[in-house]
Amino acid sequence: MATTTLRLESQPVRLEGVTKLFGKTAAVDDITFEAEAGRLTTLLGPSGCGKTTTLRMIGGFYEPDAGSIHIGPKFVNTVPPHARSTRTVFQSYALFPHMTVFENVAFGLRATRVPRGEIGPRVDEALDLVGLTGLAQRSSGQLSGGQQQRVAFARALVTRPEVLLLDEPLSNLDAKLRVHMRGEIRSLQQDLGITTIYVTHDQEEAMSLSDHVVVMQAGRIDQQGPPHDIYERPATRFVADFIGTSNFVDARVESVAADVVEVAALGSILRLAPPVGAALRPGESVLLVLRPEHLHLQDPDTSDGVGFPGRVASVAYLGAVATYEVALDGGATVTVDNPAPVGAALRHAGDPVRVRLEVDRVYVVPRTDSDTIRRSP
Amino acid sequence: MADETSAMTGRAGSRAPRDPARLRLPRALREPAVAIAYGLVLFVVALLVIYPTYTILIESVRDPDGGLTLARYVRFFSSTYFLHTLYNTLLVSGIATALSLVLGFGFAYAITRTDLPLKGFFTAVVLVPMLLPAFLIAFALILLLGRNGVINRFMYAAGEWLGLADPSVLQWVIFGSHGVILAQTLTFFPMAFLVFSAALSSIDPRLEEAAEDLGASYWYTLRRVTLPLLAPAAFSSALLVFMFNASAFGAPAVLGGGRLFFPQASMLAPEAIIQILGLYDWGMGTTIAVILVVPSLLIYVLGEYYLKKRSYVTVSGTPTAFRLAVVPPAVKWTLFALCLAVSIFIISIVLVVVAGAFTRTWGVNYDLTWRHMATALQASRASIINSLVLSGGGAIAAALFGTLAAYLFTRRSFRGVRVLDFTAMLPYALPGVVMGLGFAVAFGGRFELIVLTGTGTIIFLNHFIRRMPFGLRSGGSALKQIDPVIEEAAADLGAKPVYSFLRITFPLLRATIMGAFVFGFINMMTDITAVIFLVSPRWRLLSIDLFNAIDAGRLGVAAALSVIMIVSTFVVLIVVWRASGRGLDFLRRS
Ligand SMILES: Nc1ncnc2c1ncn2[C@@H]1O[C@H](COP(=O)(O)OP(=O)(O)O)[C@@H](O)[C@H]1O
Ligand SMILES: [Mg+2]
Repeated sequence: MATTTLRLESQPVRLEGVTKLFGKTAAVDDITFEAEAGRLTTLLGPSGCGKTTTLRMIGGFYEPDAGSIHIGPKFVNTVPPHARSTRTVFQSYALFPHMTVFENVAFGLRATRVPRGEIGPRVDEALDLVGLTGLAQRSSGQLSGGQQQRVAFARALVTRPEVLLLDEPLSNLDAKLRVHMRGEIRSLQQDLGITTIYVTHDQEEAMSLSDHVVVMQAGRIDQQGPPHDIYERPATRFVADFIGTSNFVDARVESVAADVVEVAALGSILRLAPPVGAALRPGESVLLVLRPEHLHLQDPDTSDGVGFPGRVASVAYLGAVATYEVALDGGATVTVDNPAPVGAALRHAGDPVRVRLEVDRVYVVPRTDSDTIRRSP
Repeated sequence: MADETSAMTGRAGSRAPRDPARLRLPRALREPAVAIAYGLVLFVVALLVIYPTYTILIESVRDPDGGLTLARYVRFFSSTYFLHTLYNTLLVSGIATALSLVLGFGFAYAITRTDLPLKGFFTAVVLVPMLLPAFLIAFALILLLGRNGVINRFMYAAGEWLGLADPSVLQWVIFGSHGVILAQTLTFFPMAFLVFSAALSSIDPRLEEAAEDLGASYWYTLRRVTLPLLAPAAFSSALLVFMFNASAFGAPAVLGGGRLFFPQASMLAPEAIIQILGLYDWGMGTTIAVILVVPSLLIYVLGEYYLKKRSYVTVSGTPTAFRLAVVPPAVKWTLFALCLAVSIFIISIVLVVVAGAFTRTWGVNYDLTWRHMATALQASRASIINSLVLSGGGAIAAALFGTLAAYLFTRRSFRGVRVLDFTAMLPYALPGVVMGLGFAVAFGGRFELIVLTGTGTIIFLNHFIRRMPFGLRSGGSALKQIDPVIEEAAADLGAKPVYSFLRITFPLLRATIMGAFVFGFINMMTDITAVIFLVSPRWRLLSIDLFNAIDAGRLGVAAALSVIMIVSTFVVLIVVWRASGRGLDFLRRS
């Protein structure tokens, strides 16, 4: 997609205590977040966690049952979709089947009575922007999936929205195109500087695209922050599990200080950074989160840093890395990803090993999942 | 250690107060255009459905001196004559319904489950009776099997040739219960056919294959798997066909007179018409109409809201492609014989009417003549124009309004819309006699609220409201096929409800609207039961002229009028078909 001179008046979107009920069950339950102006915010979570519902409330298709939604300074809870400055790219693209590409893109301009003379040039510019120059007269049924998606983008952007809403925009494309379009969407978004809210269940997509990630589970927000924070410092077991792979090891809190907690795990006492957003009490059971790539296999007699003895249970050689299942003598089994060594140095099932931890990359999360976090002050 | 940019768990601050508007008004109605449209629908339904139904009820219990009385109902159920009318109706309808189901199932099974030759031909022919008014079929039966009918003339000649003492013993004269039953069966079996063939083609073929796989024979599979699966469809089409049979007027009026099971009495719908138009007894006429309404409504409610939920097969489902079951040859060729015989009979109905129009004196002198056509065109010129204008206008209004209502009910619905939908569908369930009489009572000066007697308006409104349910139903099911996200996209792009409806929904429903128009138009052109109460010397209609010609025994002119009716509906059909070309293309593509 080409760059453009088109600059948009972006606005932040703010949700406060927003709840949406279907019947008696809350599809979205008391969520609060802000999508900053000009940045890309992702709603990430498994299917059914309420991402689409949230996006549809922002677009005006559902009305919140509680809470408030602001776009810029404007309270929009009851504003109908056609009167909002948001534009959605729907998962199914929702192109108008009885119209050409040109008519599809021009629709928003005509519907809002943009002067006739402006329409042609603006449509052409939008089509250039998404790389569809020359396809204006095609009927929308004659396009490939990728082209349809570009039309959907052009159709949304041509009206110069303040906020762009994307609901799993890549899920209907094949894997190769998905990665390519991901890059295009990101650069388009940055070129235009448009506030964008992006819904996906694909953590890799979320990580690679976002300025800000909001992780949702069962209608609630578990954690939000920049991608690397979410990955490096998961606040809940769910987040640690959903984003990347994690080992969980049982532990017990020994003492709590302002910037350090001591926990007992695998027969040792570890001094760790306190978890985000939750207060721990001494004696409480917790979980340690160990990322496979932050664990290192060593010969059993090594003794640098903090490590635990164990035995290799199985090995999967994946080329760039080798993934080991290691049964620790302390009882737990952990997964370890290490760069695959050259030939003979690969360890084998049954080999005694030592698993070293990077202590500054071990995190504590409450044991009883997110509930603990929510109830804490 | 938790710096400011890092993770924060979502936690509500102060909740915004509930928006007070949502407590007052459903969200859909907050759009002014939608609220206005709902207002219009409510007005139309109240004026043209509820008000006439209400007045007919009141009229049937109104005492001449102002009080209320049930005397007429008592009289109905204690008089042998009226009870015989009821029995005649039940017997004729029951038998005709059973025959319609058998024929409809035979055709549907032959067409969907076998590889018979001429399947395309059978499919086309089976739909012809739907284009013809019931009394026209009855009339054609007279031309074939009346005393001077071609077949009976031939049989008489054969009897003479054989030297029989009474050559007429070979004749089978159509007048009587058997004639009414035959005419009604032919008229209504296509309805059963449509239900059965939709049901048959949406039964998962793997069920039948599984039965065969488990060692079941053809007959066992048919009896224990196929037919039980069809039972709900069979039951609902039986109810529907019975409802139409029971309120039929045309065939009994043309073929029934004094020769039914209980020969002293007629049938309910014709009796209501005799009471009003012959005896000017509005009280008794409306009483009979109400008696007709009750079972119709029960049947409609049962079919619409109870059976649909119990159905094993989705009647509107997409037909599944499957290998044809191995049908025993005996079954196959029996079905073939049945389909062929019925098809030939249907075609001869059309041919005999055309022949009758250009024949000097049917049954006596078969010389070619233009005389009947000239008479018909001259004497009924105004009627023809009236019919075309009122049916054309009525059908456009019905299709558009029905579609608009369907849009509102499916896309802008709120709590309580189902009641409105049900009420708007009532004109479909209510017999023509009831809707016609209802209009005559409501707008005829007996209630002095609105008086429209003798105007074209009253006919137009009656046409409109009776066929509006087609648009409502077909629009509703078409809208279910269109992903609502298309319309959401329009709103998202800034289109207001009216703009979105006109630019997106309406064009996408084009083919459906055309279909509702065609169906409505045909039914309006051929209707007599309702409009018989509404025509006046200034506003005559083609169908009524035709009925009167048959009634008066002017067979040649009647045949000429029939040809005019068939040709003009056919022309409209073709024109619309061509005009909807793009709409149909679109359907094919999606
Ligand atoms: N229109 C609706 N009516 C009833 N329940 C709904 C509706 N839309 C969504 N839900 C329910 O709300 C929950 C969240 O749905 P959704 O927002 O679509 O999840 P996501 O987009 O994260 O997959 C799901 O349990 C879903 O079944
Ligand atoms: Mg979703």
